Amino acid sequence: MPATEPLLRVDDLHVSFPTDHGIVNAVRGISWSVDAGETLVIVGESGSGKSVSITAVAGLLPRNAMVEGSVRFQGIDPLALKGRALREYRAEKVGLVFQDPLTALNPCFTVGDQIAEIFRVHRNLDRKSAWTKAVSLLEAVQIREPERRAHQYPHELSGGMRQRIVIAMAIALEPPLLLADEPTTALDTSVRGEVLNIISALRRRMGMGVVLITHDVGVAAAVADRVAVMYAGQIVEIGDAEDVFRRPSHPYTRALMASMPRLGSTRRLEAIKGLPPSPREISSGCSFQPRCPIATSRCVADDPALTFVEGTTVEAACHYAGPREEASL
Amino acid sequence: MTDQPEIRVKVTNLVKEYQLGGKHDPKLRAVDNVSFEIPRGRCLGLVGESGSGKTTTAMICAGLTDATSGTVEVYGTSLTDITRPELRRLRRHIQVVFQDPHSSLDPRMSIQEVVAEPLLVHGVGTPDERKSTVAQMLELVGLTPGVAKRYPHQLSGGQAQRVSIARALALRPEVLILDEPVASLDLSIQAQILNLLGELRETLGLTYLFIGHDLAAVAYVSDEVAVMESGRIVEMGSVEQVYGNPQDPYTKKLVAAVLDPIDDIGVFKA
Repeated sequence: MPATEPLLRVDDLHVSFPTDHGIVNAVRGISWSVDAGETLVIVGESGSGKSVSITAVAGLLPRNAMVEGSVRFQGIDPLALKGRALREYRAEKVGLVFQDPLTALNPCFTVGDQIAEIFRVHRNLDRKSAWTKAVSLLEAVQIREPERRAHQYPHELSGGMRQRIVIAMAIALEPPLLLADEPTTALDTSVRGEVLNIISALRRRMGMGVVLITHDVGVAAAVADRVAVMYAGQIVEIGDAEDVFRRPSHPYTRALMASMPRLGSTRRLEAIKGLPPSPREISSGCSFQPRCPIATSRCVADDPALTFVEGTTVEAACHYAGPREEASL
Repeated sequence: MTDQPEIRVKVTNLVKEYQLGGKHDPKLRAVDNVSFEIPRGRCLGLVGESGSGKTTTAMICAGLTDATSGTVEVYGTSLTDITRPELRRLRRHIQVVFQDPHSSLDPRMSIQEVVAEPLLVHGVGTPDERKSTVAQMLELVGLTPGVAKRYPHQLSGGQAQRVSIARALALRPEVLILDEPVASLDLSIQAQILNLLGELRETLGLTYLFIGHDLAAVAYVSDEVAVMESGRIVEMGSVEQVYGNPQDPYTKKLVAAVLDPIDDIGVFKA
């Protein structure tokens, strides 16, 4: 990509929530960007802050969230939007796909009606032309017999088909950015590929930027141009998928790869000892240091910042960052 | 392989039908003529997608659901034609670990009570003995003794799953039925539990029926795998055989759908 402004840029974003037990720092200073036509995947375990960070971008954080840092999206700051402008931003600029398609759809209306509603509300189309648009959208997400399916209710469709409906709704107004939060987690493995394929095909055809969140390293590797690995509210490694997965530079990424069972490998899994820190009790220094096999006193004293790792496309937040081939895990 | 004393679990022509709607409506065949056996100390993995009948098969093996027809033999005793009290006694030897530890642990019971409950139910030991068994079991699954006083909501997912395993082991069973034991856990915790299950099998000589949808995780703990599709076993054999050289089209599709974090970089990118 030329050195122009990316589609979306997140700069030093912090998100915290006040709770009865003190302040929870869910996201602690993350920066990333995504270009038009590019797929960024954010991987991390539960509680690492990946969902909160895209919730912020989508303008869907709850009112009590305390946000610092900046988000720039085609010259707009979604964090500063209110009322009508926020509504329009959510409708026109970002498409959202969540994990569970059944809870994302309204059980009381046919899927055709639900998609058509978008065109009636945001494009002032009459019933008939909105319906026609809805049916052609079902075709775009590769649903066979779209006319018949449009008349069905969510409970009559399979999980994979429901998720395709949700994707259809997300891209209905042709937003420049698609945010997908664990879009394949609730689906069977054989359907997972279809859904990922559709997202990729739409991205290409519409030139959308895609930010996809997953805990599944296999999914991340399969779709990502670039990958950000999150741990305890921070990005510990970010770069091209090829570098991050084949030659991980951060010890957490390496540990994650080594703890994954892989088909055709009988190597013993190296479990990461201990637990991820609770967002309420993050210690000083590097947040992975208590579980890190190569931590030293420097890691306890001094929190490493993201820095470029020579010979790679990767930035990693580790004093001892360096690419290692998978064999040397 | 038939009638070897070594066989711990033997399932023959198992069928489970559920009546849909009224009695004139069609029946749903959740398990359709399933047969397999698990020799002592071995692990059979049962893989398949949701609705393929894996869990129903497991629940019948645990004596928690009745079969429509077919037999399940544990230790050479048929679960299907014994009396309730006999079934109760047999259940001591066959225990279950469920997918979601937080919903399978009673939130009102301390971990001490949770792990001691199977002993209480089967009338094993004095209160003091039970207490020491609980301590032993917690140690066995890698938890500190202090956990005994806590309640399920105070534990992380991985710790809670260790408690479920400790509870399942309290009666010193020989057969464990593991129904998606790592599916609800984070990746870094999954490996801990998979390794723990492997170690326990070795040290205690346990026999496992391991159910999962993640082919790689199932392969890691299993000696043999059976692939289920709409109630039937479509392919069964050693892990190397089934995954390395799948014969059935459905198995091929499942194996092909596995996304490897290194070999499959960029497959859906183009």
